[in-house]
Amino acid sequence: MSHIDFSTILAISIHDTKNALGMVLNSLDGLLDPATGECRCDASHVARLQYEARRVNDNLVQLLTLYRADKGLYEPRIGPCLVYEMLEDYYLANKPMMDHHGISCDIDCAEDLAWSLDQAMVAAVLENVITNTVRYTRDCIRIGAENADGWLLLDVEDNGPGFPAAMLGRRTIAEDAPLDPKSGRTGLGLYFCTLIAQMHDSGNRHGYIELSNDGSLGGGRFRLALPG
Amino acid sequence: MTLDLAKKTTLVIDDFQNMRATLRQMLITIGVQEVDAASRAEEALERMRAKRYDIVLCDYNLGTGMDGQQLLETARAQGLIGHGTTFIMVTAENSSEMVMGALETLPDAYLTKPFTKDLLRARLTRALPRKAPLQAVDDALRKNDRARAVALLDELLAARPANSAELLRLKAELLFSGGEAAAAETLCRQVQDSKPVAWALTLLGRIALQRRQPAEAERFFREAIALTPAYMAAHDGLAAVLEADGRSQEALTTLVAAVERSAKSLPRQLRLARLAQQLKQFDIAERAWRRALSLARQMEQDQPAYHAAFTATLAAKGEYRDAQAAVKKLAQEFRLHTEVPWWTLTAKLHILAVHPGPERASLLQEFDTLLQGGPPPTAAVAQLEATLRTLGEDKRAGQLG
Repeated sequence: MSHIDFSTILAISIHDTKNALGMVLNSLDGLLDPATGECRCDASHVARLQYEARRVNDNLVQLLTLYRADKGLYEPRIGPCLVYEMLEDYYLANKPMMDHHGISCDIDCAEDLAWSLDQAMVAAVLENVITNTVRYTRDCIRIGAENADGWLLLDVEDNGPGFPAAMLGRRTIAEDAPLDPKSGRTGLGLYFCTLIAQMHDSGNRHGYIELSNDGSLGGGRFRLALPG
Repeated sequence: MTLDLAKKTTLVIDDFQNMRATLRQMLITIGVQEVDAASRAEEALERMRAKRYDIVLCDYNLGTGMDGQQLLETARAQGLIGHGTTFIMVTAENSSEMVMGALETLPDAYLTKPFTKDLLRARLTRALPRKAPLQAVDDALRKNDRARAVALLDELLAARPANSAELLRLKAELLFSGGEAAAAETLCRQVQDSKPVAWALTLLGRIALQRRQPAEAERFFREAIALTPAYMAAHDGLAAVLEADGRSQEALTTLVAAVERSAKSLPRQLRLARLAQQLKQFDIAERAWRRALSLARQMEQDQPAYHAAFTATLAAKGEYRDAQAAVKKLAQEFRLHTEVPWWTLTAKLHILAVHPGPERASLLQEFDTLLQGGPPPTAAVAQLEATLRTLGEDKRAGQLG
């Protein structure tokens, strides 16, 4: 948290959260028939609400973590984790939302792959990334994980149009461009992911994230790499 | 997938009564009929001794005694839960007590509180079909029929199940412990050829160590650590090979790094304490003994031998007052232990060996009296002999046989 001041983060978070809540309120309005006052709720409305409510929740989790990191209060809780389970939990919790968007999701990970990591935070990164991927993919997502030479590579791939060129490559906190609350989509999510990646270190190796467009499904690939 | 949970025997372990009730209710709701409960690790081990469980649902935090991880390791080491038992560890979302960057013995699944019965069912649905077929393997092993166990594993492997890796690992370990090192080696190399994994490299290292090929063993262990640094068995193997190769100082450095990663393993702390003692690195030894003693106490596996050796470390550091206190503690904590006269004497001789005093005559007399009553406990012979020789009592050392 070197070159960023917390009030900027706060402003961005409030902005994101306000937008998501606006969508929630909009969807809620659509549930009531203005003439009769009756509630006409269907699955697509619920899935929409779920999606926006998740974004609000993600934002608040992020905000709290960034606040703690900024104040030096955040202690990473690195523990053993069965990676497949973490991915499966995520998948089970989000299946209704993905079904609604007509998106299929595959998990590609050995069932016995175990890694030392901060499960709550890595799950928050996944949540963050996949909530975005759902918006940009055409119809499928692949979540993969493997041990490559002492690094856990966690990939989220899609078959959408891919990331804009300016976003590609490895990102570190030190090299990242400062956040700019005026420029619309604000990059706070990626900043959060980078921070969580870097909190995972082993000797002189730090975790990182990498964005590319050479995913196996033809679209974008978000990669979280954590040292063992 | 439908899953017949009705006939599965289940044990719930949690120190909070209402959490036990909640877990039991959840299990009953998803169709389990037979649910036993335990509030502490010791009670859980008792129940596992009395009955084979298909499913164990255990909270990580169990209050004052062993935690869930130590319970799992103890139960596996004592053969109380076999390969066919599904062990699920329940952890709190904000559990700071589980902070460790290490991969030791892993449960079959984790559940993070709070969780729903649907997630519990999902975990069981994935784990049980993998584990249940292994009960036949357990049965064969209980009858000491290793060949049958391996044959059963081959049958299971033929169907190319999702948990092939786990089955191959089990097969390789059975082959190795059954004395078929060459077959275990072939299997590990096959696994390595498709994809390097830490367990196969570690087992190859242990095989090489057994064959007295230290250079090769070291290479395997180091490769395993490079591939999965948190895999603790590889660190333990590396320390063992370095020590066997006479590179004790490097072994010590390896163990110091390993306990830094994972401090809660009693065998590892004991190994470090003894090695540091041997190398006269008494600060490291003292720290390791203190941790080992507190772990042993927590796990109700304390032994007078640990206290006697700890006394030697304190005496060697010149901390006589602490050493005296350690002897007192030994005598008090093990006052009902039949071996305690020998162990307190051993501890006192350790002090005498670095801090000569007028009690020498009476201690040696006590030695002679005790010896007339019968030989010392086997575990004490090495400590006694070394310390008697330091005292110049070669004749008495010789009487130990």
